[in-house]
Amino acid sequence: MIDDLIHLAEHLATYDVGRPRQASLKRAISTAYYAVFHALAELCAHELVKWRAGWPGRAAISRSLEHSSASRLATMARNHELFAGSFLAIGAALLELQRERHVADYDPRPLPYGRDATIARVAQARDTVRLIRQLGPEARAKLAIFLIARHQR
Amino acid sequence: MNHDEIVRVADEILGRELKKAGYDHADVASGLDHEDEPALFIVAYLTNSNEKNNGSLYSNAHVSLRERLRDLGEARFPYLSFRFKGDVEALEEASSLFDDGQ
Repeated sequence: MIDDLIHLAEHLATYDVGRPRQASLKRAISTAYYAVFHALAELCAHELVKWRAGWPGRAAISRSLEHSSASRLATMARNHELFAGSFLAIGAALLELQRERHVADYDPRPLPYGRDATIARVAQARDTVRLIRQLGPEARAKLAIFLIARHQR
Repeated sequence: MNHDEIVRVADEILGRELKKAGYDHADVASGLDHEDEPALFIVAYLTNSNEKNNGSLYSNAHVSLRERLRDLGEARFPYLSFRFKGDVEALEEASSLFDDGQ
């Protein structure tokens, strides 16, 4: 599904001939965000329950991955001593995509950027999915635990 | 860090990291993000859209900017968005149509 979401986002960003419709660009941004979100959910599910708990277990893990985890991930990514450097790129891209998804989904005004910038953001999402998938076993386990564990605010 | 210092750092880092994308300049604003956290909002103006599919280019630029600002003591997260030359011209055209009531 993750690759399909990226392909869908790419399709939406380039779908219109001439001036792109706002709905196409906004859906592209939102879809790109969810591709990254689901890549993280998949990582957490794989690391924490694998297929032992079936779809219900994987769904529970996905629901536990709060959207606010993006902020925590970006904060965590500052700590280079404990985590792989690519965490910073993943966290930063996720936080940026999350902010743009909020604008795309909730702000009725036209986006302040156009098709090329949308395509660039979708490309960044695709690269972020690649980074998530390339994490080593130790980094994947750390990331899964961090994202799912409850944190006191 | 103050506004001018952040602009200087953005120019230094993005000028280097986004050279292939035709980095021109950056606008910097500060405020609260969607989670009400203090943040920086940096817009990079780019003249070359041939690199728009190069996702790692933008990720690397963002990480470099974030690290440099953090090293200089800036705690606010720098959101980094892009404006490509063609997009800006199209948006200006659309805006002028709107202003004319069309």
